[in-house]
Amino acid sequence: MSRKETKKLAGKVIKVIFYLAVLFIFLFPIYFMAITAVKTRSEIETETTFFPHKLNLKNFVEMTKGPWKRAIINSLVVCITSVALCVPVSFLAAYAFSRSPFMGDIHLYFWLITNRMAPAACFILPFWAIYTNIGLFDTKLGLLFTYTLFNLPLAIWIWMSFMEAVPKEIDDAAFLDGFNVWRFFGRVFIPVMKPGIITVAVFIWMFSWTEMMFAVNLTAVAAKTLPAQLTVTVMRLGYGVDWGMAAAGGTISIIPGIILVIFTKQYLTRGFVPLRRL
Amino acid sequence: MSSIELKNVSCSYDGGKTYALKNIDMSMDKEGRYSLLGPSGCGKTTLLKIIAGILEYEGEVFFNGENMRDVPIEERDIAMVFQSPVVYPMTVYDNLIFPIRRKNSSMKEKEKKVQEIADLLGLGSILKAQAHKLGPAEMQTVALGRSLIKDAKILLLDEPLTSIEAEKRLILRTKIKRIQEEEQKIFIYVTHDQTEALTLSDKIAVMDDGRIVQFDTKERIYDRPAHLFVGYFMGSPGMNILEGKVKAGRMHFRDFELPIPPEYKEYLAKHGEFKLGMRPENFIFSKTEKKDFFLFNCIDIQEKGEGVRVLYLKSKDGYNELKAVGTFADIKAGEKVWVHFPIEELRVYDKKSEQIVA
Amino acid sequence: MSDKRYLLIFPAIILLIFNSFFPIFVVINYSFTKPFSSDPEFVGVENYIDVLHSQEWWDAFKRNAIFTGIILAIEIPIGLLFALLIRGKGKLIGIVSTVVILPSLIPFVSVGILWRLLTRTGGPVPLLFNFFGMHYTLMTPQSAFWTLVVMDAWHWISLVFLLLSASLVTIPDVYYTAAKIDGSTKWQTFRYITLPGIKYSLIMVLLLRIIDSFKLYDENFILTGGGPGRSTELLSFFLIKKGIREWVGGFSAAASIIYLFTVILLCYLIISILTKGKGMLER
Ligand SMILES: Nc1ncnc2c1ncn2[C@@H]1O[C@H](COP(=O)(O)OP(=O)(O)O)[C@@H](O)[C@H]1O
Ligand SMILES: [Mg+2]
Repeated sequence: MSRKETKKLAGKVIKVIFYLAVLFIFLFPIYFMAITAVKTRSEIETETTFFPHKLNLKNFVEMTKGPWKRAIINSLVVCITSVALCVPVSFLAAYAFSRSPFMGDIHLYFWLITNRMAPAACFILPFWAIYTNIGLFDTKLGLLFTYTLFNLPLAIWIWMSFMEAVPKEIDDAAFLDGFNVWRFFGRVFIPVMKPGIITVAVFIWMFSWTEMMFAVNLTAVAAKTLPAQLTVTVMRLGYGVDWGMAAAGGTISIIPGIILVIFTKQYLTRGFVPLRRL
Repeated sequence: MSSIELKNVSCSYDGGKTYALKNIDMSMDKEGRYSLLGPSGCGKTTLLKIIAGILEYEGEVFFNGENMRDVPIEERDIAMVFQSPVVYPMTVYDNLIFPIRRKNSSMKEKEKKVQEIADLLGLGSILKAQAHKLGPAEMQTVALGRSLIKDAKILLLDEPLTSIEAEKRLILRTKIKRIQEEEQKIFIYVTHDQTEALTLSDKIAVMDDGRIVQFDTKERIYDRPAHLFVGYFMGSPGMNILEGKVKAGRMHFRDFELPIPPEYKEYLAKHGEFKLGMRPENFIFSKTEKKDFFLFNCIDIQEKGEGVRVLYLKSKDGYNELKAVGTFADIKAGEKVWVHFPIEELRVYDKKSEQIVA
Repeated sequence: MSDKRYLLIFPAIILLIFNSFFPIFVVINYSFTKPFSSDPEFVGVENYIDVLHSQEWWDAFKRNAIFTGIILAIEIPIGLLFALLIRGKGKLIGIVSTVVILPSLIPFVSVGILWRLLTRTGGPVPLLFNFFGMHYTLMTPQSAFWTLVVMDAWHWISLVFLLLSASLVTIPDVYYTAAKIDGSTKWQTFRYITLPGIKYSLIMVLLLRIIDSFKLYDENFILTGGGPGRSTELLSFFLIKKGIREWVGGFSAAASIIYLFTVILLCYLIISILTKGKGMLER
């Protein structure tokens, strides 16, 4: 009896230690970057400190100006438009897949997956060639289109898992009641799909916010996103990298993720199984 | 001899704000067929889970006089069948042998046991099939077989027929019945279906809103419902309920009156108002006026099948409504009939608590 | 009307055709020519032969395959372990799971920067190594490669964790209860209940990690720039270097096509093995 209790207690202690270790492993690097951003340049270059000697907000002030400000705005615009475009388009496609028998063909489905597989690297050249010809080079619209290629397949997979949890009889009943497809979506289907909308939106955001290869290679100045701007900062050879500035940009780039994950986690982990159809 | 005893058991899912079970006292003191019957959400599954050791609870649970609070689920001598069929992704044979595979007995004996169970449940022909690819009824049969294999003294069945196709429900019910005849166990069968409870148990606990309203043999539950809820819930249609007043030593129902049965005299001497319960099977009818028969109008008749019909009756001035069940070949809708209330079939209930008057 | 619902797929198809068929044709076209030269003539399969004879290509391919194997062996078990251990109710568990998911929402570049900061000469990681009496530098091929592996694990265990956690909650509790009543061991419960329950998410995560590890470029670029030497030059890095920096478009395009079909074949194989195998994994 008491041995059982000691064992239980020991198990609990081990668990808490495990949790704290995990927290440390994932938070320490972020913490280190955030404090690097508020150190002075000389402090960064001369020693490794875990608490900054002096608070230096110069780097963050820089973020609100010039190329940094433009990059942050560009990133936000591309992400928001990506979500706004891909959520409805993938919703419609997934609905067609999950409800229309001959559309659920495994090969079409597999083709979708291959789109995600397509090595971004092998698309850089043609995108670059096409975009320079039709004037989409260095535009946010160009980036938006490119990201769609990678966002749609994943979004459709995720949608499918949510939709297949809803019995098809609901559709039939609604159509018998004289609803058309759009009214059915608005009144019945979309309301029950709320966790799905949020999950899909987060995954789209995830890709669009973090992408850098296209952002670097398909933009020059005007449409540079935050990841592209960060890359330029870090890759400035010769002068020596301004790590404080890079760390400040990096810290800023993490903030939307933090906000998103805090507000949407309950939906993300509520339960979905992608690829159930295979 | 096995026994299960629950003493003042309560259970809350939200840390004490609301209780799914409220002060349950129940004693199953020997092997036999028991059932928990009640509408959905009344706490049947919760009670079963507490017996199985899955849920935390307040109060005490005893098996054979031993307090089970700290006995983990795997050490309790129980087996369980769930509402949705649970099978493991392996063959039917492997499913059946799963619970005894580590028991200290020869492989031969184990195989014999599996064969026995398979024969009993008619699973012999599909032993090699993958269990998780079968239909729901077959899966549930496998789950049932798995629950029998280790000879647990207590078998818990949580609405095992609910998720089965209607056509196969009867077959599986018959199989369960056969098991009950062959094995000496405490069977606790949970259901919201009274027919199942009546065919698959001898003692029934009727539950409502986290309480056991009555726990008794099925005959007494039917004949002498302890609470109007039980009377109304059991039987189709349920018990007739009339509101009455005591006047000059008789029971008055506005447009007719009955004598007070001797067993209720004492109670009705002190209480002016009451409710009367009467099973719809127990009326006696006449086409002509007679002494102690009261005039009713037959408003509607419904066929129940096999010649049995339900009569919907209204009293002379329309104050009271009754349902009656029987063949009544000569009564038609719209006709006048005279109805007799046999005095030994009348049950009197307290107006407020709706408990039977003892 | 309801039988016309398949039309709803068209917006997606149109976008995908614009974005995938078009560029693919361009790449295929490049792969048979010498693009960006004064006369982009048709050269047949010459580019493909060049690729298959290129030691650099095979090195990058092999390196990437090894890298993928290693990160799968690390990320999938650890992600699964995290998903199994970090679940249930409680404030601490809520915070921990939020933090574990977080890295997947951080841009690759920022992860790269973060790890550059950690591994800089005199930074926290070298200090930690010194503490245990060892020496650390990004400048040897071995340590650069393994740093890349650790960084990738740090970044993407989050995705494995997220998808598997979401999948674990779909397994009904009664399965675990039944297993307990039947005296199932922990391993058997995992083998016959947990694993079949998360099978499809596991396949999904496996595919995504394979696909993405072959596409890995950004962190690679920021952290090691492919170096020292070519020790951390993975496939995508190699392709972009060839195509854009060294401007050999035909070669790069041919390599892309080979690469694309290799990955597709790999994924197809995985899907068919895992779904049409013995059926033991299915529920
Ligand atoms: N896991 C749970 N969490 C919270 N409330 C629950 C849970 N399970 C059951 N309840 C509540 O407890 C009550 C009894 O449920 P249950 O025992 O499942 O009823 P029954 O089996 O009779 O249909 C219901 O009101 C139900 O909403
Ligand atoms: Mg229930």
